[in-house]
Amino acid sequence: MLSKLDRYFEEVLCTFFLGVVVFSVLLQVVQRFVFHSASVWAEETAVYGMIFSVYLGATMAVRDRAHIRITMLVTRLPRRFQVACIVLADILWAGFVVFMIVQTIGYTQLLFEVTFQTPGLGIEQRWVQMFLPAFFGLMLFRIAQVHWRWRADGFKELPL
Amino acid sequence: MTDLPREQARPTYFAAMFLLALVLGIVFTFFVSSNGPILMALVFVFTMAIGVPIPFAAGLATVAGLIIADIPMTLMAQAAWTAFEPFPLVTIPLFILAGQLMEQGGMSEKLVNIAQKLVGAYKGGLGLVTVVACMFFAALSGSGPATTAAIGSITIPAMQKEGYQSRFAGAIAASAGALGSMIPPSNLLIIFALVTDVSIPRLFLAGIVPGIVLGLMLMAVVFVISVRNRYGGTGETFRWGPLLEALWDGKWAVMAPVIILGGIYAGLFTPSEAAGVAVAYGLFVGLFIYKGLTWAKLFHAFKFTAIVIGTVLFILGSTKAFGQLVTVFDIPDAVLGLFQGIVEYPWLVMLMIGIFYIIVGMWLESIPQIIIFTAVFFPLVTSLGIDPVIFGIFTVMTCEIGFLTPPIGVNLFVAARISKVSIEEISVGVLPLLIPYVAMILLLVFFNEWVTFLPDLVYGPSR
Repeated sequence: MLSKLDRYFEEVLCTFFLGVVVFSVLLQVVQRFVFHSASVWAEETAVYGMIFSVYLGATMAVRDRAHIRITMLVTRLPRRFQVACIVLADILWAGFVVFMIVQTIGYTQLLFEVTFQTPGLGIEQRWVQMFLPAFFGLMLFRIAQVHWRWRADGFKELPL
Repeated sequence: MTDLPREQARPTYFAAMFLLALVLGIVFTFFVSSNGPILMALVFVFTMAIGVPIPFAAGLATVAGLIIADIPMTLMAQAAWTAFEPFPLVTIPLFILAGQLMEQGGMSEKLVNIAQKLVGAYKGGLGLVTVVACMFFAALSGSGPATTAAIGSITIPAMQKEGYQSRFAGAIAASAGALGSMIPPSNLLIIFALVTDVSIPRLFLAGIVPGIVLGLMLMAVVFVISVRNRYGGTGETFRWGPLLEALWDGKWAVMAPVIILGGIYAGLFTPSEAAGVAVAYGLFVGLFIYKGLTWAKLFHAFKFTAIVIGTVLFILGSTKAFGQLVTVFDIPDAVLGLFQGIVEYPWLVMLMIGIFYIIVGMWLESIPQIIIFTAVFFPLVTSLGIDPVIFGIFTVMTCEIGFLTPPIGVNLFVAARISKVSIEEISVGVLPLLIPYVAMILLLVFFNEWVTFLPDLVYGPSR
């Protein structure tokens, strides 16, 4: 169960949100040609679907180690320094993610104090934007997971 | 590690010294001179050099800049959302997805088949087929690496079977695949348009002729090399019958660019809508006509798209604040000052920017490169009276060379993986195929009126 969740959580959600993007854009086309009208909300669902799949795609890429790193310099170093560099890099990365979690939480709190409705769907911005800290949190978890697995492997290779 | 051979020891020292110098530079700049732009550049290079993934390295550099400029950090949180709000951005995932669906659904085979009937009989037939098929596929897809993968995975093994040198076979697919981001639709042109507010359809129209000319030049190089190495043609001699047959057989694939590009230029769709239609078309043809799409492949296409946008588009969020910082630090003015002596010669400025872009492009992904440096150079370039559309085409063209040069050349990675040779080998193989790209850049610098001819014809002259 847990391993299934680990394997498919982001994938399924990404597919769903990309599906939302496709559906919304097509809906706009159909509406314009058939009903000669346009709905602003479809534009918003498309954008929100994309934002959600960008962030979920980014966390999925952490798990699959698909993020683009420049390792040319690092691989030239002796093994001990390689490990030091990569660990330092990941600490900085995680630090940035923690920073973003703190900032987005602060910003979401701000959004809860003011009213800021989206023009199309008419929902409060806070109900969509509050997912940002969650996405960054998930990313932090995935970074930790990569290192956890690296440890379980007996520190073979590099956690790239 | 005392038994390192001498050749290896030197890069090690060099790498260590380089990192040390960067750290000292950061400490010095931060505490002594607080020069924002330099600190940002140093942080960016240092974090990238030790292996922080590029979007996050850019984010850390932006944070450093915000600290120096004393701007509240909420800006980062805000940017993490608002950076993705422009609706035209939706075009990018949609075109990536459409390209995936069309490839998995079996369209790329049909395109290769058509190209085979068209140019297969000449010397170096399969090489020419690769270039032509890439040109076709580029009109369906907005991305260079995707084009390399779609066509290369079919033609590279075929070329290897024909006795082509592996590195040459891979290099053809890599260099022709780069046309994917020149011939519209193009993800890179969309990004450029978003950063500069130049119209997307205008840029797309301007990309057609340079893309085709570049394709023809690549074919010429492939032909010459093939004649010298005696790579034979494979198809039967050119006749109209088989070509028309192949065209008819691949009509659904041929129709795709007609619908996508025709729809945009006829004013039926916006580019984003066209991308949505492309996805629907790819789904329809893949599921019901060519029946190449299975549920597993469909799921894979979605997952692939998510990973690409997650790793590549993610940088938009961490660098949105970068644009503001560029203004706060007056970077365009500083750049103008740097070029002060040569502003009377716009071509020289273009040439220098071009060389700079190529060098940066060797290290950086194209999308981050366009976002970061367009903000820096665009004001300068327009103030010199260079047409924004030409500069867009020029930017993408230089980025394409970046796709094709190590150490970070995504097209090379893809092609190397397919042809099972090392990156080093394939980067040697690609050298002769870079000649057309360099020639095209020189053309864009010195004689560029023809680039804007098509968009001016359709949409009327700009300004």
